[in-house]
Amino acid sequence: MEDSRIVALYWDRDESALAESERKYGGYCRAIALDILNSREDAAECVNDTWLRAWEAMPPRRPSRLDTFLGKLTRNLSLDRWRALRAQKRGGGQVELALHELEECLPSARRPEREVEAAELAESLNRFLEALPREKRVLFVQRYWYLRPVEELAALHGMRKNTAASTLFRLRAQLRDHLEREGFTV
Amino acid sequence: MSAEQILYAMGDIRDSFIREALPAGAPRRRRWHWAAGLAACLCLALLIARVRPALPVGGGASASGDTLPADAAGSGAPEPGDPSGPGTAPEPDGADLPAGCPLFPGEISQPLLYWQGTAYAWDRVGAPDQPIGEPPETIDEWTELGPLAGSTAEETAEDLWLYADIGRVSGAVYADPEGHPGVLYVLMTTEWFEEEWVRFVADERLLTPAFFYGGQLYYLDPSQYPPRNAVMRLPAGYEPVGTLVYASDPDRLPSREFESSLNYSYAGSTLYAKPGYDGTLYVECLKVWSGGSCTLYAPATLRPQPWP
Repeated sequence: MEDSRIVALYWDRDESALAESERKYGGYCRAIALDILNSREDAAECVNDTWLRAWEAMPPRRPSRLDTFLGKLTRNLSLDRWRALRAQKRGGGQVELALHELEECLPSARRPEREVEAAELAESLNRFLEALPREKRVLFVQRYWYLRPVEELAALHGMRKNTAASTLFRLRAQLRDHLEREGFTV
Repeated sequence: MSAEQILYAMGDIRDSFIREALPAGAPRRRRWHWAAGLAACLCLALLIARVRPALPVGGGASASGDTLPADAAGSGAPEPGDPSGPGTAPEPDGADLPAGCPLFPGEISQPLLYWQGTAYAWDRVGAPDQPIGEPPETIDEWTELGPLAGSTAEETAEDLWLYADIGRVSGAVYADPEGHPGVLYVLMTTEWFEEEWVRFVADERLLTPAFFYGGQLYYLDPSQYPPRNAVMRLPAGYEPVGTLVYASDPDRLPSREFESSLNYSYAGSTLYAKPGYDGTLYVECLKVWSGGSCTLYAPATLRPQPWP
């Protein structure tokens, strides 16, 4: 079923919207959740929550791209759940690793401190990503949006693990410089 | 600011960045329209049985397989003495298309598109290394041949008629006969999907991952990465001979030494050959699962390996 028809089902308050979402994007969302949570049960719950959040969001929202709309919901729900699990010492998986890596991107506090708005930071990330060559941008997004393991990315991109890791290392350093230039600070 | 803030903010990056980075494999396949999945099964069942002997072999690199030695006959099986045997690669995580799924409703034959007396078969998965349902990057340079004339249940060799009993179809057909002989792209709408790019090929060798070595084309198991017939231990006598590189154009056959038609999985992989034996080569590949990874060796043969 086309995305526009699925969105129309949500707007019509037709519960088959949930089944159609599951049918078309269940695998996609589960893959996102699984990489974050490392647990099939937790991932399945997050995907179910995704359909409910979508139900709450549409209307009034009418996303132009249903796949990324649902994917973002799943990612946020999975990260929230990961935080809760970490508090219960059940966290782990790629998030811990990604967070550890992203600490390298934190700008130094040399510049005047600014309150970081999430939207502002996302816009800055967009500018950073836009300036990257496509291949590097894809690698970065696959690591820090999809949270795919470095080994898998190396295989996907036909490079050795060390090459993938060092490319990501350089990209994180570039991001740190970029954030500093744009006035973000710890 | 914290690393966690960056991680959360990454969640709100532009949709186009998220879509272009959709990792190959499970998610991409799952996004595929179900009708395209059915079409895949269709070609799966019929390519081997029907089209293979019928399809003309089009342009590209040197012909391969016609003078195939008997011991190299495309089984992809390791040589005798290989202790690991075939099928030692772990199964994938359920990303495959369902086996034995039904064809198009009312389907009586494999979809074939005729143009200038040549039959082009509906490709199972689209060009290697190209997102499913998307055109090649150079599509703007291809010539629009015109609209699809329609579909028919009766076999026909009329130009731009689709020989497939699938009801109403429409779309525009694109070709680049000089640069990409043997390939057509159609921006197609059917009763099951709207405006998806479908690749048609007249040369079966474009359907399967291949690389060029020693003046010949070698083919890998097209089913998945790592292939099902990959082995855990390299058979005795094989030595590394070089590294595969991506040929940069999935709609052309590789024609230079070590060029591969598949980028994301095989480019950069080490190629192994046995001195004095050109029947089967092995390509290093990586199996990754949640608990770690291991190196496997995928056999490459002089004849295209069949879809499972």
